[in-house]
Amino acid sequence: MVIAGTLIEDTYAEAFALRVARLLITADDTGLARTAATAMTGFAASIIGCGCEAGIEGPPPPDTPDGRPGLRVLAFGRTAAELQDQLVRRVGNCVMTAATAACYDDLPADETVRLGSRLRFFGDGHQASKRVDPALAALAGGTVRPRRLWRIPVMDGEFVVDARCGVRKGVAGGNFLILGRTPGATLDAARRAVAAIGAVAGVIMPFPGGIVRSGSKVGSRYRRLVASTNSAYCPTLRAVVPTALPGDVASVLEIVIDGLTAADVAAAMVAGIRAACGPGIARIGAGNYGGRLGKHLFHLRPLLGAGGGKAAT
Amino acid sequence: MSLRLRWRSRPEAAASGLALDGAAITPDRLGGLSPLDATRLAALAAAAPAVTEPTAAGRDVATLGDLFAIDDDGDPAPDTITIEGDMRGVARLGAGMSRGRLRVRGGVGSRAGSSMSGGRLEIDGDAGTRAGEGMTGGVIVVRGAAGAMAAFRMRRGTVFIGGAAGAAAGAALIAGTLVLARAPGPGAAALMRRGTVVVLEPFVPGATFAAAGRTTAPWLKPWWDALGGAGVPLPAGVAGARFTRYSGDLAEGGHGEILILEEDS
Repeated sequence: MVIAGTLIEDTYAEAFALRVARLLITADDTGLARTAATAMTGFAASIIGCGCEAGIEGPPPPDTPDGRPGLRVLAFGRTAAELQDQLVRRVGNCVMTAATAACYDDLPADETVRLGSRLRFFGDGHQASKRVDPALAALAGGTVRPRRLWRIPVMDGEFVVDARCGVRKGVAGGNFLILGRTPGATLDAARRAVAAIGAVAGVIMPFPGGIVRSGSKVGSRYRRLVASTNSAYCPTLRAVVPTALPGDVASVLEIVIDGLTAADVAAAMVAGIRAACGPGIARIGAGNYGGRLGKHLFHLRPLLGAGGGKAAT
Repeated sequence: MSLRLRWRSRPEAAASGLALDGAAITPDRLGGLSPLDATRLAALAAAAPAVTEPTAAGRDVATLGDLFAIDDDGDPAPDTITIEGDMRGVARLGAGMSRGRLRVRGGVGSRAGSSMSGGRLEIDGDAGTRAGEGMTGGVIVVRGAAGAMAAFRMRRGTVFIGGAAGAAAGAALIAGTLVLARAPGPGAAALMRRGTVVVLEPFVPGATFAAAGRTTAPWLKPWWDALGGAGVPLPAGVAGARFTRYSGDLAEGGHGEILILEEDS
């Protein structure tokens, strides 16, 4: 399969089930909301080293609970308990501290974890709760859902945060590899992919700028390391290890995608791959572990042939 | 199916001066019933001990059909009941309701919606005393005026009073939200413990409330959306408006608040 001169390899991406929460961070203006969201999703590239994977979802929400500008954040953790721990730390230190910011749950779910009900103690007894009960929410219509808010007094007024936030099973580790003929062309293609995926709802790209240069393989020659550099894709190692790189490939960048559902991840992969294909890009590949570890497999050719949407799981 | 209840004129009831206990008329009890079934239903809740019988039937239990002409008004929304007529002689309408919608196209007597825990009670006319007393959830919208002690000892939920509120509105509030379109009478929010009283007209609270500066309250947006959804006219720009905040009642710890809409906001 060839798209715009780029070969789509007959391979698949292997993704995993993680717990996901979706928060909505509002502030007096979009810049302040972005500051808080960027801070709370910092150092959240990989579940292995960071405790959670988190990022800002591209499309902003059509409406917010308090009517102010806002951004959506997705955060992924191994378990609901670990996710709660990460959210309490991150919201407590990066959103509560950010000027004018508020933090709302944006994922209706049967399972919930504590957020504001833990952070409220910062109020030292002066915190107050407000409940949007089902009757009020029904009357308000639109996007208003029943919720309990905590209002925590802070020096610029009040920090408002949902008492609990919903947690669902999400999909983490959707990916594709961009194999380019020059470093510049590869980077340009990666940026096009990131821009295209930024328009897809329900997904994040947790790595810096959405681009990964240090793809990994499972295991290492060193006993203590569970993962090490993806040597088959390192251009400087092509002469000394079994390589996956054709002779004309000079650089590889990976796009990693986490999403609310497999369909969201598939849609993002399709949008990203289509944007990345073009002059200077020899191939599109994907990372997997032989299909034994991950719950979700995204086969590139069926995905792109179908025009997107459906995940081959 | 939704029911429409039209009040039959009961001159003998009016002459007695006694209030009818309307606590049995709730969506919880009437929801899903056909008009005929509703007609046969006992109008007076067996669980309501202090029933004052308004009809010539003495202590006999009246059926709802004795008091109202009941039909299906065609509204497809379930658990919706509309009452037409002057219900000012009927106490405790909607008391204890937990779901659905009860709309009264007229005034109501005392303690409407008392102890309600959910659902929506809309009163197009005036409410008597103690509307929403002790409620623990749901929404009461009074488009007209309210008698004394509206939302007395409310624990959760929302009460809106569109007209003048009588003395001691929001007195002994435990929590919840009371929105007053007009400046309330004396004793407003006296002895409130927690909760929020919002006043949309200039107003100076009593001496046991302390001024706590100006503030915005963007978290109130769901309340404005809900009141807008109920067709309540609200001041333009209220969602982003500034409020003067008072903490109180200081005699009860000062955890409650009165938010007064600023005129220039």
